[in-house]
Amino acid sequence: MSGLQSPKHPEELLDMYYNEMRSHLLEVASAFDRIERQGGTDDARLTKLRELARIAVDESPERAKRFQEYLSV
Amino acid sequence: MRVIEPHIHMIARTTQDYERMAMRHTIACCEPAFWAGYDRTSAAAFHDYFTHITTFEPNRAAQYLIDHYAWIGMNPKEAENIGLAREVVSFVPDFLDEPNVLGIGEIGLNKNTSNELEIFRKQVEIAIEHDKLMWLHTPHLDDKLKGTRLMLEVLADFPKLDREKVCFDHAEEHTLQMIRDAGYWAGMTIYPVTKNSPARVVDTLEQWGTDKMLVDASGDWGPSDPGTLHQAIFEMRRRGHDDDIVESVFYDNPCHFLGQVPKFKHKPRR
Ligand SMILES: [Zn+2]
Repeated sequence: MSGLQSPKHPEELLDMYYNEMRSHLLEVASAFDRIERQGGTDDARLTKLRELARIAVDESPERAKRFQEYLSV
Repeated sequence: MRVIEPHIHMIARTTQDYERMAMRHTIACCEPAFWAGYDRTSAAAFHDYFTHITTFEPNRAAQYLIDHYAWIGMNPKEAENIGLAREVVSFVPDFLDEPNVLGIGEIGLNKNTSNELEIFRKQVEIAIEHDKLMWLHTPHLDDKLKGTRLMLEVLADFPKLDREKVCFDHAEEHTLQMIRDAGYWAGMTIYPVTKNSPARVVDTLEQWGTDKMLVDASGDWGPSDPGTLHQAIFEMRRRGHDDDIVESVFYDNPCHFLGQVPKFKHKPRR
């Protein structure tokens, strides 16, 4: 498999994406709060989202692929 | 539904933005003096800038039936150049009687330095002395919590200050409690990525209520959009809040805060 190699260093990428990553995480946090504030629910989709959040930030590679696989029926 | 934009930097926007705002029923907007994206090299440059937002912008806005108001002040970012900042602050009072000027702003802190604190304090003194409203800029991102606290401490040194006349802008989840506990108005800025999103603004209104709350899109030269104010209006309606309460946030509340200055001509519905 030969992909494209970006000339960017990891630090440069972090500079590019840090605020965006922060913002996405904050939006997720506030959406959980929003649902809970209305009394919450035991809807299985919330459990699914919590697991997806764990995958998204875990220490292993291919997070996006595993995220999508986790959702695939 | 009429809409008032309490914080936008029209100097950085095109005339088409005025047109878009007008089409979305924005009937007034307020432009606080801020950093231009580069550090100005002379006090004369600030003088020209203050002249621009008190003459050219009101005329440009009027073509779209938008009343343009301004806040005059030395922004915290350039307050680091303390000599220049002192010179600019010396002529801030000269602009306060211009027909569209509501008060001093946006003043506050940026990186929470001692120079910023000095210039902030000086301008608070001017506002109190001239009995003007204040529009306060709280710092960005990781500096916001500490900076908001420091600004509250500075203001606490002024027992004569009427807290009804002060709005802390760029408030977010972690700074609202202290601003409201102290009895000030709070502004929530919608700004892509680095400030509030429309959804989080509505969250805040749901948690805190609408009393002494303002919402603005703070459009400027950065990645921003005056239309995000209207996205927040739609988000509030989509959550099931009725139009009457929505209009109380986006129209009546600015009328109540800004209307403390007789120059501001719009009246709240109640
Ligand atoms: Zn601003």
